[in-house]
Amino acid sequence: MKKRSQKLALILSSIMLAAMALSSCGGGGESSAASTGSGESSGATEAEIPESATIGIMIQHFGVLPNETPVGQAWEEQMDAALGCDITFEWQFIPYAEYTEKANIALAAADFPDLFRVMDKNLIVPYQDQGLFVELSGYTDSMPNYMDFVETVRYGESKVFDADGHFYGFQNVEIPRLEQGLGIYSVASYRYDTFEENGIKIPETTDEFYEAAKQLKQLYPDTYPVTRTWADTSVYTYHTNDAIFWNGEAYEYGPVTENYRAMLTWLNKLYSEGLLDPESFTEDSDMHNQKMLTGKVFMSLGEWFNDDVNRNNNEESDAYWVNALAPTDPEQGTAWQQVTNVNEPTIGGEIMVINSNSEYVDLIVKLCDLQYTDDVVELVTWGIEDESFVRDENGDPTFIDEIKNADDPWSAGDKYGMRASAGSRPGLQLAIDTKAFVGFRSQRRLLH
Amino acid sequence: MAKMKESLSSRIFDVCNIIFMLLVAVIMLYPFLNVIATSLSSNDQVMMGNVTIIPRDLNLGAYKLVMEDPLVWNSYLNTILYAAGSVVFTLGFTSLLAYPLSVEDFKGKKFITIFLTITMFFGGGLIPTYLWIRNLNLLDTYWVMVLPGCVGAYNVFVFRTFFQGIAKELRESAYIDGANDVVILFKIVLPLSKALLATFTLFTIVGTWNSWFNALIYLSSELKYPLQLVLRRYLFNAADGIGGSMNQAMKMQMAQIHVNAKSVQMAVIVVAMLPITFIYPFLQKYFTKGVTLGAIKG
Repeated sequence: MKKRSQKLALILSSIMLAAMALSSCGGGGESSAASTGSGESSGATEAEIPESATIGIMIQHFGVLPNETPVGQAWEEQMDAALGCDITFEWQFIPYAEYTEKANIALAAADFPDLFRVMDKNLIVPYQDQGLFVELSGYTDSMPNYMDFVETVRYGESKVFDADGHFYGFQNVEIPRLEQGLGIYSVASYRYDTFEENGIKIPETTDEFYEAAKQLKQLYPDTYPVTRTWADTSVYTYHTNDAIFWNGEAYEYGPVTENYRAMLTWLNKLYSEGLLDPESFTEDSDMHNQKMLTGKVFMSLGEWFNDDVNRNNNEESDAYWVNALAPTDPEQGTAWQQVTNVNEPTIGGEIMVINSNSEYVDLIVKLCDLQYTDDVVELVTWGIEDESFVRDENGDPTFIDEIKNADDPWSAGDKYGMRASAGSRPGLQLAIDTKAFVGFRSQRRLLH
Repeated sequence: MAKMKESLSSRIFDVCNIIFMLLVAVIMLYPFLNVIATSLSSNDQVMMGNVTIIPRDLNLGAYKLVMEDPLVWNSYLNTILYAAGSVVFTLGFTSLLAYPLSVEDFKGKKFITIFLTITMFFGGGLIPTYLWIRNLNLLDTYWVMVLPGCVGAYNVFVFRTFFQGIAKELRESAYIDGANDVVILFKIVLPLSKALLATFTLFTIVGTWNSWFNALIYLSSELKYPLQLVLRRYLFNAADGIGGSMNQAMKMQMAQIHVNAKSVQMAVIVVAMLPITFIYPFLQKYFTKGVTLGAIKG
């Protein structure tokens, strides 16, 4: 009896082992599909639009799942109608907070659906040669709207095409929000109340900066009057940069130029006379804030423009900080400023790539190109006409009063699901109209 | 004379020892109290760095925000479910694997032992493991938090050693009485291994409670997140300034109730660690007893 049951056990276990080995064979076959993708495009012939298609999309979400909102559903219907095809969208939403890690794994494992939005174009560069993504230079005839942006946006072509004219995805475009005006996000900052109290003028040149710092050091000997952050404007004062930059005539690498040395000489002058806080190079933002609020520093070489608002709102401390332009060094000429382009369309660094194994490449190219047309931009950013926005007397869109006058307009927008909301990012987010962000009551007051 | 000297030096030693231990205790307690104090203080005080171990300007807004976040409570429940599932599967599968290895006349013993030992030295790596889990269709399910890694080679060896310590005569007499191996395992061997099972239950629960990396790469639905991943999100992504990605609604709320982002982070830490802090002293003796379990044969 025992011998027979032992033999039976032996046979069963060998069958199990064989089954294990064979099942892993089958799995291996499926997963090698990704490595056989083609690197070159298949040409721009007019392909037939299929009757129906299923498109998988991997994209981040910010709290609200857009495909369940009115705007999200309107978007899907509009896409079906515009392309003449019954498309089933299979959304894979990943929470924004964990998106970078997930994206890295998806790229390394070559495991992503037809469309995949990557937040930084640099992430896909190592994988371009492996044929994971469709190379799009052969499809430019099918994407007139996107090409229109690429050719008209300043430096658009250098941002999109690489050296041999190839590009692998659709990058995001932002329609400008202001007709005039500039966005300066890195500013010099001074403790206005201390300067007033001691009758010191807010510095405009480096000499004035130096004199003010020395005066403050005499008045408050146990402090370091000058501090800085990563947003240091000294590079702009000295017409240089920490990396490769365009100096108006050519590209150059900042740290090897004479200007960079001049900047370091300036910083060294402040440092060696005990004016520049040595900890400012390594401290974290909590420490930095503390020092600014408790009177340990009075001048900053560079801050993020919005941080002073938070500091000034602190009722416990009487520090009052103001923003100013980067100081000018007379030998260099007028200082540069760190300017962000807010009155021209811009092309950003986020990219939407197409899996080279996708069955519907032509359809997807057309789908992505549609995102750059005016009606889709309006739908995605502003919402549905007469539901979330109305037209004013100039025919321009403006949000309905319910949203504009809410305590928190951003959260009120979540209900409708358009881009100008706290948590919803509908559609493919390839082109947005940033004018919608200034469409709320509190900001309208600023513009008037 | 000799007796007095001894007691003097030992008393000096006691005094020094106590002072040293008090210092260590203060060093350990200070961050703990700081976390609690920061979570209870208002925005202005925290920003100015006035908060050390006592809360200033008592403000319960941070706790209100954390308690109202459905993700925190959901993830608490998830962690408990994952821990329970892990315990069941770990104990079940490990003992099923370890028992045959502890029986002397099992034919495949050497082969399986070598197989297990090899896995102790080499691992597949992150991407092959991810692809394997994806091919098994385990991504974004409950099982991916419970099944992978539930049988560890080291645990199997500890179980095997323990089972070998159970007298062979018990098994033989059960055979004679007509029991097969399954009955022996469940009715004789496991009931005698209660200490082992209790210890590994504790280890498994602590391991699952602390795990977040598996959840990070395998789960994409927020409703399935365990507690540690939510904690990570609050701590890593809720930084001030442009680097952070805290959601807009929460930023507005924080500004309105005068609560600093740091206070919210501290409040989440407190909410996550308080239950463990209360339970651990009672379970401590089982931990220390269990560490040496299975170390000595027979």
